[in-house]
Amino acid sequence: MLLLLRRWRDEQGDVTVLGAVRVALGVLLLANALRAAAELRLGYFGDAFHWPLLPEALVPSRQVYSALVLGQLVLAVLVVVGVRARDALLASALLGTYVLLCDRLEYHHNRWALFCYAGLLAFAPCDRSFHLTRSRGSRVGPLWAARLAQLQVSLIYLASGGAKLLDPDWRSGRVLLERFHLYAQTLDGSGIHAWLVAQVSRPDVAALLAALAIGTELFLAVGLWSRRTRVFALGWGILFHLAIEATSHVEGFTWLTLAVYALFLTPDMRAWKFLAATFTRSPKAN
Amino acid sequence: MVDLGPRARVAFAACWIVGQATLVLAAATRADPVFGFRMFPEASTLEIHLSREVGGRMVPAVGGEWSARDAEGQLRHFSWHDRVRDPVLSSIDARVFASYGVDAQLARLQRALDDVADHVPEDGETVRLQADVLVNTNGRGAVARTLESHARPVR
Repeated sequence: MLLLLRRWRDEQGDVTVLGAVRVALGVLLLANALRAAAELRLGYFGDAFHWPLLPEALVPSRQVYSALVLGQLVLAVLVVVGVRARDALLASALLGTYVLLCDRLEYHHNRWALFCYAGLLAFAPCDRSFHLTRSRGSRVGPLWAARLAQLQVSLIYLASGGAKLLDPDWRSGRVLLERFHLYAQTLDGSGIHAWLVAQVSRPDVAALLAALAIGTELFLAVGLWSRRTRVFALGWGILFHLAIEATSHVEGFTWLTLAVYALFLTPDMRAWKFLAATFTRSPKAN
Repeated sequence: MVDLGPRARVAFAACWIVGQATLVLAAATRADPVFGFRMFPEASTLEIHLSREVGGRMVPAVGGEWSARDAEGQLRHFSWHDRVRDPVLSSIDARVFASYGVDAQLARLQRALDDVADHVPEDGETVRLQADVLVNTNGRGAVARTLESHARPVR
């Protein structure tokens, strides 16, 4: 255990991919700041019903909040272009978390996850690639914070899959079935889309899909870590999230998770050979 | 600023993991499971009907709109939507999807009722606001729930 801890703490490796993840997080932070700016144009949240987790005295005034949103926009741009990117990531995470604490009505899991990843990536050398300025530092650097961000991915899957597993309505497929029923009511009743929804809106199919969803989340929590299962887990996870994106409004969570998946990519030739072989293997002769 | 030494890395990681685990586990104890990462917890709907207590009887506030006299006897117009902009809570007399679950939305609605009751000082008639909510949890059929704001002083 101590050996494992030391290995995690002192691990060094190629940090090129961290730059790509930083750019993706920067784009999502920018989208989040632009959304906040658009909402601010419609009205300042403090002028209407809000429910802060912080004491009301710590909720910013309209002027301060406007400055914070502007600050979030500038920080997101710095993250994308790679100028003082790590400081900007940390500041974005802290500012974003503060804003979430000011109104729990505006809390969404995807926003909290974004600020968690931004905060963790700030501690990783993600500014050595994919930047506009001159290259700085070696492409080899400490990976402990990137591993912590990967652990955050697992924690989210575990929390989500675990909550569903403990919920009888989820286990039985009732939640999914009702989601399908509600979704079907928004369709016009014709076309392939409506036909597909009608096919899955059966208790037996919903129960099967619920078990698949729970199993997928719990599998991804561990499967992304093993060299033997990583390629399959990444592929399955991408399909899983794209399916959610196609059927639900998850405000960037799909793209956030897929961006952070890049942290699990390794120059693991065995894995890629296995993947290539899977798609090129000819049928076995009897 | 963001480069940590070996000891600080361990301390930071320990604090992060314990903090996240606590937030996730504690989410189950809150009506509003913020920070809990419980995705798609329910497929429930709400239908909120607003009314107000005036002179000992309940008067519907259709669509969240009502008129009442102020302390000087002047007739004034009030709207739930002047204070409540949340897409779920601002949908009055219409069935809406209960994002984050029924408990989360009812907890928010209770707060919203108290908030609106506190922000209509010119309403000299309404003693309290009441929300009659048709709750349909995961397709089990509608169940009526009633929430009330705190009482407010009237002339």
